[in-house]
Amino acid sequence: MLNVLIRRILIAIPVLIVVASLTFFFIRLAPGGPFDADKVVSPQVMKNLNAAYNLDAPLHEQYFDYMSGVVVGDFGPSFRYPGRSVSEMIYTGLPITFELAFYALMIAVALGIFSGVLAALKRNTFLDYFPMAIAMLGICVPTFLMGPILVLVFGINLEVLPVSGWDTLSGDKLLPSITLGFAYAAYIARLSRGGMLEVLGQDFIRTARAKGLSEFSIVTRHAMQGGLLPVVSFMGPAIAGLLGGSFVVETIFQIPGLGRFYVEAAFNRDYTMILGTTIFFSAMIIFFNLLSDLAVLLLNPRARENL
Amino acid sequence: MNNSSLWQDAVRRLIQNRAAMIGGITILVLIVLAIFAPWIAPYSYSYQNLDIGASAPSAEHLLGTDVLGRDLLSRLLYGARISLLVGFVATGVALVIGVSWGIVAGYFGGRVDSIMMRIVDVLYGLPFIIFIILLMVIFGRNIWLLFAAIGAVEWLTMARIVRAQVIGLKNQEFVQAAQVMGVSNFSMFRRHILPNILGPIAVYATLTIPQVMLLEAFLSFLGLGIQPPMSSWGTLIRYGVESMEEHYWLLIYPGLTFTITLFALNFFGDGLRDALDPKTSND
Repeated sequence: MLNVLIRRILIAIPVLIVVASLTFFFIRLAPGGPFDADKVVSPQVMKNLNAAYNLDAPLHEQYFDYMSGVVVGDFGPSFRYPGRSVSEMIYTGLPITFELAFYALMIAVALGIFSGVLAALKRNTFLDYFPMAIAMLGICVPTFLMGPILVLVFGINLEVLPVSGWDTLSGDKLLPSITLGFAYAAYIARLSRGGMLEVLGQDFIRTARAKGLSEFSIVTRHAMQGGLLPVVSFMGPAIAGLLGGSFVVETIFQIPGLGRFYVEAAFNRDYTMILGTTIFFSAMIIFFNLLSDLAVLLLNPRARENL
Repeated sequence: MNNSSLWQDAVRRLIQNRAAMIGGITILVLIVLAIFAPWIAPYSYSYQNLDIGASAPSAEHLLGTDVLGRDLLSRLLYGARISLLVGFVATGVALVIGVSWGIVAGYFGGRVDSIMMRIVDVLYGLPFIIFIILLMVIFGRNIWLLFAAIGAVEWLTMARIVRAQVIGLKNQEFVQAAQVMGVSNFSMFRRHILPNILGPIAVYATLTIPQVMLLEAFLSFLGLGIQPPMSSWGTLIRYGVESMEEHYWLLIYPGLTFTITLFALNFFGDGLRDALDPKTSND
């Protein structure tokens, strides 16, 4: 177990370095300098700007300067917002994005597992068809449509919930969290239904029934451990997806999180901000994937044998 | 049992699956509408009538007009061309890369396999949405680049599926017989391996199309995908959201069109999977 952990971490580190380096050099390929969109400035000012942001140094020097900064969590200054550093913006935006992703994940897991397990137990009844139809809806109605529709209904027509913001009005966290979580609730419902159906047909469940265990403890103690494995391995990609979804949700609801910073940076061509957040997001996603793979190993003895 | 009867069985099962058939017919209708958009559409997608501005659905403009007085129905029809094109072309790109990668890895096995699949594992763990955004920022918002970028992201699962299939086939007698006869690698892939894994490939390709369309719409919604005056459904939804308070129809109709299309593609893909591989149909 420890071996696997060490090996996975040893793979993750070079991957991260490659990602960071590729991003760094890709950004340099981008047409135009970071200050092009501003007013025309004199060559002297341009030179000073370049010097201030260390852009006049040879490329390899810039690269090593940048990388040694990244190791200690310094992503350099923002090109677009003078006087603010990229790290500072990451640290202000991150807690909000994490909070949003956390609520969304809770909604997704609770709703998804409950309806998926129920659907598997009541196979081919209304309690199977109805939640699965809703789940199909959740997969086919994208976040960027779901959000505005919820705003239109609950925010504008019924006027029961705020239409935007985060932590400013009571209840303003509800719509963004539901918007972001719904699609994942749908995926989790489908995965847990499939996994449970497979497990419920196996011999050890029949044995448990024959022993006279209550249906409740058969489901919770025996079937769910194996039946929910697909959900556990989905957690890594789901968290990656939630971060991507936060771009849209934070834009729709005007939430000052990392996702919106990223989209704004992409629009403004704030290269250092894009570079910093890309490296940061990659590190987080690699980390969460690692975590969900390890969780699967812990839960599934058979997967451990194959290593 | 010979090969054709497997396919005949599959077609029979597919036709019996009502949801899948409705899905398939919907897609066909959409494709026809998209191809003939310039002849069917009542107006050009860029024709502006600033006098009427945003008007609710009426006899002249069945689905209403946007703020610039452009006919929404026409824009939806033209948008169908771009959205569907992205779906099919990017899936095609993913198909070519994924299938070749999977066949080579699965067939040669050993060190080649483990290096190739380790690369897939590593790529799997990366935040691709961010990379596509990065590419769009760096190289400009070019539609062909968008196809390539999305396709380059979606091939990973295909490679895994194909590899698993090929490993299953590799040890069967007919492949070994062909090896003994000295068939070259290329014609082995083309004549013996590929025809036997067409089923799973078709299923997965059908299910990739809606994912690709979602990705494109996601980017266009953020303003990083298709640029005006061209419009994909994602762009239309974006404009719809901006003006949904006064002009609800600008959000509802594009949203509905997009959702129905995704539904149709998913139902058809699920039906195809059930038809070709009855074992996995409980998912």
